[in-house]
Amino acid sequence: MSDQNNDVSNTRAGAVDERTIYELSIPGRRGCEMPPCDVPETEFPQALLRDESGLPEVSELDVVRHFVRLSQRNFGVDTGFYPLGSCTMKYNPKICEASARLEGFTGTHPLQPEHTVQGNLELMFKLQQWLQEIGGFAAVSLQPTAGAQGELTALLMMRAYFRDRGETGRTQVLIPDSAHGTNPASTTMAGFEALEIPSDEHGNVDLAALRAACDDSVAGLMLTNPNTLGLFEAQLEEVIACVHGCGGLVYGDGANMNALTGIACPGALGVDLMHFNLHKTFGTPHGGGGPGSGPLGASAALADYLPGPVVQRVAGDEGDGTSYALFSPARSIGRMSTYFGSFGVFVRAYAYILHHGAEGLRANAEHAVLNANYLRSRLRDVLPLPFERTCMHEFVLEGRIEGSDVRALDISKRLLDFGIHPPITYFPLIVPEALMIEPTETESKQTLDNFVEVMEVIAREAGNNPELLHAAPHNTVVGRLDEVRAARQLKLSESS
Amino acid sequence: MRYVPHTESERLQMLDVIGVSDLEQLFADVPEHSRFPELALAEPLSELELARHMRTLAEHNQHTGDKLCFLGAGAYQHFVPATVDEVLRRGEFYTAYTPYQAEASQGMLQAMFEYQTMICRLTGMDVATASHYDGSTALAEAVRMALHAGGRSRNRVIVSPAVNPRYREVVHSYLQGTVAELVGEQTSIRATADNLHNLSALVDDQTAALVIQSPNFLGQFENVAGLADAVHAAGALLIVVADPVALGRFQSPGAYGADVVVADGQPLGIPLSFGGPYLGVFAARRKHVHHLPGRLVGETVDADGRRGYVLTLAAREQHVRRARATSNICTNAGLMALAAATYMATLGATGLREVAQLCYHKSHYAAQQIAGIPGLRINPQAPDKAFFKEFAVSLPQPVATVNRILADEFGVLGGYDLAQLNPEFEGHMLLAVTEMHSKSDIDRLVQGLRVATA
Amino acid sequence: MVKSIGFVINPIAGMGGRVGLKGTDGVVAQARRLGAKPLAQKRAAEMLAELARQLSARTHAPQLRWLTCAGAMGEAELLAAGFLSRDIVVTHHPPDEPSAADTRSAVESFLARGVDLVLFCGGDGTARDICEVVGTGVAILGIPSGVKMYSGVFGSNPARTAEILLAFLDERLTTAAVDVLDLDESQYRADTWQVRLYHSALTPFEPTYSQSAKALIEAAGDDEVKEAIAESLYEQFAQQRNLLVLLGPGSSVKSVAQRWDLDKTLLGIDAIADGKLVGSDLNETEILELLARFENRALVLSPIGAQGFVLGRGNLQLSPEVIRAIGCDNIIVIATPAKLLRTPVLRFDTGDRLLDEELTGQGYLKVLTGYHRRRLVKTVI
Repeated sequence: MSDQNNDVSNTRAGAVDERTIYELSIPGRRGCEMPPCDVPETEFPQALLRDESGLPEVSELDVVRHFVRLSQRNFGVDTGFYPLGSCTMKYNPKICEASARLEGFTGTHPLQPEHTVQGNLELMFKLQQWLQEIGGFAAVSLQPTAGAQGELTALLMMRAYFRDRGETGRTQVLIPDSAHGTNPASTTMAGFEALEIPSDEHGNVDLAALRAACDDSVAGLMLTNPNTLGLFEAQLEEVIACVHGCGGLVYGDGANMNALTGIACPGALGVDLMHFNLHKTFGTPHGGGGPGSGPLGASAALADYLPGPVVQRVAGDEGDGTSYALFSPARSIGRMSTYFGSFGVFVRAYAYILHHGAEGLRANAEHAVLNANYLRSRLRDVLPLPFERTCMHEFVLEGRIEGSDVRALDISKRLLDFGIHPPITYFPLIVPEALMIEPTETESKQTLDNFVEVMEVIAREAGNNPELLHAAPHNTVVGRLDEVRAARQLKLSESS
Repeated sequence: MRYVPHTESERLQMLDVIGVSDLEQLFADVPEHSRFPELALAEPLSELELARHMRTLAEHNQHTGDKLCFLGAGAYQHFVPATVDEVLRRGEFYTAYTPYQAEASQGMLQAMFEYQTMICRLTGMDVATASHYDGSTALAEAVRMALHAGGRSRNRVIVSPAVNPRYREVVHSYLQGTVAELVGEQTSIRATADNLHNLSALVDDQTAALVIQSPNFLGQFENVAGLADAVHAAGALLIVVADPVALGRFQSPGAYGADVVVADGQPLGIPLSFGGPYLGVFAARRKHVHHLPGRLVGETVDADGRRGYVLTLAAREQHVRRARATSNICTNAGLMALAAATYMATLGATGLREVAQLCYHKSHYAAQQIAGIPGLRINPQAPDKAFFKEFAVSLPQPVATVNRILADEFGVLGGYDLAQLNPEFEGHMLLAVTEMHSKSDIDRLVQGLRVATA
Repeated sequence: MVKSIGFVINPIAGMGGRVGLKGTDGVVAQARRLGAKPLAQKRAAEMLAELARQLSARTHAPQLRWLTCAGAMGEAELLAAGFLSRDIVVTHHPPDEPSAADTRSAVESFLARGVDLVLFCGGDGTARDICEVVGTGVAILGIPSGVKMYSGVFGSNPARTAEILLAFLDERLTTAAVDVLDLDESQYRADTWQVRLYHSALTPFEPTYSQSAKALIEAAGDDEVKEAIAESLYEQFAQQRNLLVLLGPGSSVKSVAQRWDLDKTLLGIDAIADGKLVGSDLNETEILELLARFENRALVLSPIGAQGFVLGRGNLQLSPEVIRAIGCDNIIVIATPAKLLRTPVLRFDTGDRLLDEELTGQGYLKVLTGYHRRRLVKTVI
């Protein structure tokens, strides 16, 4: 690694503009032909027809080259190191992908009679069971289609629970200021008021503030543990006891469950509701922004409120081989997606858990924490570390360098030039110039060492040549894009 | 330990750098009595064993690979060209996160921009989002957006009884915690036969939106002439649930005045996959752009003037003002939108038109043949309405009995039992026929129905 | 693009402090006799040096044009910090013994030529003088150099002021309306500590950041957040009948009245009922009379930035008797998250110890910070 080669003025190797599919379109060209109609044709209702649907006209080779070239302009875990804090960009095992593509799964219709989809129902039932076991819950519904929807579902369940108990005065949801940004949005969506609780100087929930907030107007607390600073809530049991003490419920944001599989069961610690992000904890791909899956676990008191349908094992064989059936929990808040949630993602997560077993899942969490602490220990000499504590699966640094006007964003963008995806930048908000780093367990010591060396180079550059960082990235297909222009001169589709 | 690459000596070196002697010391913050629970999970399987197990489990299902499937009711078997999965298998796409780092995500961002363009053209709208979870959640978000746009005085949403009942349920779930009121009957024979204009008469100054579906849940095109004008005259929005394949040949909701169009994008190259993951399509008129829930991709330039794409309009309305908070959406269905973009590009204008036409002709052929079976009637509740690829059949026997015979003797997964929605529909089956069904497939279904109802 | 900055030093600002006077307003001669030395030039020099250093470290620095006063009121320090005379336009020539009138004339001469921002060096008194001229037409920014600096227009120290100015020039900061406060100096020198709100001014301000999704941080201008707070209150008040809403001083609270399309006084206590203004700039007696006529009451207050006083500064009309008549539970404290960043604790000083204790509650107070959104903030007496 050297500081040389700073002349990066013209290194955008792949920077040939990729024309859009419409720019490639030539009237009359086709990428796919349908077979001729083999039944007598029926007259169309002329008034309802359109002549132009406005889709492009390209050949199959055009399509393949276009999208393959676009893929080459994209960074994924399969491309390089992706220490994006809070997102858990770990390796997505290929056997899980292959499993999800089996025709026996992809070719099943969601409304098939139950006896014809026993394989699917068995898979969903076992996944429910395993998630219950891993999280320490009485029941799990797989229905929520993403983490944020899992949050909303949990809040709607709290609402229904207190309504049934006649406690309609519980209008407030407590949210630590280190929480995920979706928490307050979900809270408002569910008709509650968000009350932000400050953190103490160690990054924990300020217990005194929490005590002051806990009264009979509180519906619950939304707790991310480990929190978004990557720290395990040191007074977790006191925090939970405090909320339960005033009659409130504790919702666990399971976004960081990947640090706890086989380490601790949130349900056993008193968490009443928690969503799992299958894409973080169980290695299902993020898909460039979805599909997600946010199954929700519930304690015995709340299990009846879960969204349905969920899968149950049926006692007797009804003569047609039915061992698993769908049913709706007694006081279900209702349906949160059209069918059962992201079934294709369940297949991947099921295969992942079965591939790892209990020991493998615990080893994943342990090595995620090992990797994070290793990087923390090595990088604290490069950038300021705001919390001097053993971290869990991720940690936060301050992206500023003494005597330089380089900011966290500059460091992030410069990392791209080294083929490394930047950490989460400017989150969590309670740390100025935050850089949130999550290496994940699937990265080797060599990858981590290389990352440290790159960060050292960048820190030196910040002193010697800050302009290089201000103008980064230099090696990507485009430079920093003008986001203000994008928002002011809105162009959200191609003009016809 | 399959995917943890550490050797024993590396582990020790790393622990040494951290300053602890073993892994367990890293978890001192976890309450001791709860540390390291023994999890009762299945014994781990090697990749070879796992592959075998997954195949076995998959074969415990009946599926479109070994059965003829005529189920629809919101999820449809359509042809998926090989290009789609080829693109989806690109690790650069599917192992990426939401494209927040624009410089490293131009591929996905440009694909989303192109997807937005194609959806706008198909629906006849001005702006489209980069995807939602599925059709029902897209509708729920559209309803919330309409309530927001309607302001304090408009708290009612009228949902046509002919809208997919599962969509109605999800809208209902999403409105818990608000003061909004969902108006309109559950799916019933009388209600689905009703003229939509009776519904539009209910739209008043307290109504934020009227939601219709066309083709509706029973497959029929709604009579939309003058509907948008009536809704707009009362100051409300017209939200239309569409079938994206139908839009390849049949008029777009934009053409008849819709304000918001939502759909499940599953028919656009996404496998049935037992109901998910699917794709929520969401498009609207330009004036709603600042209230749209979900992600939007916009075009811009870098410092040197190179064209590029970014996530834009992180919609302040959603997150800061949150008056009647519209959305908490974070993840969407990016990969599914990519599938749809590849599908639409491959099929093109002509291909999608052909698919729509084949669906129309084949379903009508099937309906005509079935109508020839004694005791069976097609769309008995509204026989004169035009339909696209789905139709209801009334049978002299319970649907479950008929379906059992179809499956056991003819290898056919028969239609959806409408009695599950409403006992009024006892003996009514909803059948979907698409380009996937050859004439001989349809003839087999007809023969099966003839035998089963004899 | 060239940015124009009006720059004025109040050369006598801060002189009183060192010799035990509480401000220099009207007592310059006395201060000089007591041996007071000009402090403002030194503070200004510190700020300008930091600014010059940061500008020279950049390749794409904004181009600056300075409008200023001759000699000690600006020009001298600019030249000393290394700014070139071709970039400096002298628009005002003060006499040897300048007064508050010179500050005002200087700012008038800046406005006549057009500036993007007025940078000044002084204290609350100087801020007031400048506000009288610019109102909320142009943003102002203060290098802190007074005895009193209660107003929200000052950087926390000279170096930080340079950073704020740069961020403003880079358009990384938006502007927000903040309060310009000052002690009533004649009362202060008589040992009566009374802060008054005098004006509302525009100043460069950190936007409120919120996270809408991981890695997507949004910046919202202060006005947007104030609107969200107002919307939330509007909804809340709409649910109560026979309700009197008392609105305290300051620009945050003023925006609440704007939700009803009502024009509230900036400095006074106003009252709203049934969507109508039923009292303006009320005194204690008038408030008590009004309160007696309504079944339900609410009082909306915003803390004084940085110091955190909610009661007892700038709103003495709200006497202990008034507060008791309203009821502690009916007091709603509002503040934007950006303001709370600078205001870590809230204080009460009603003059009634028991009441203060009741108001500080368990040591935390819920502050409305957005639409249906509150934050717990520490309270002390």
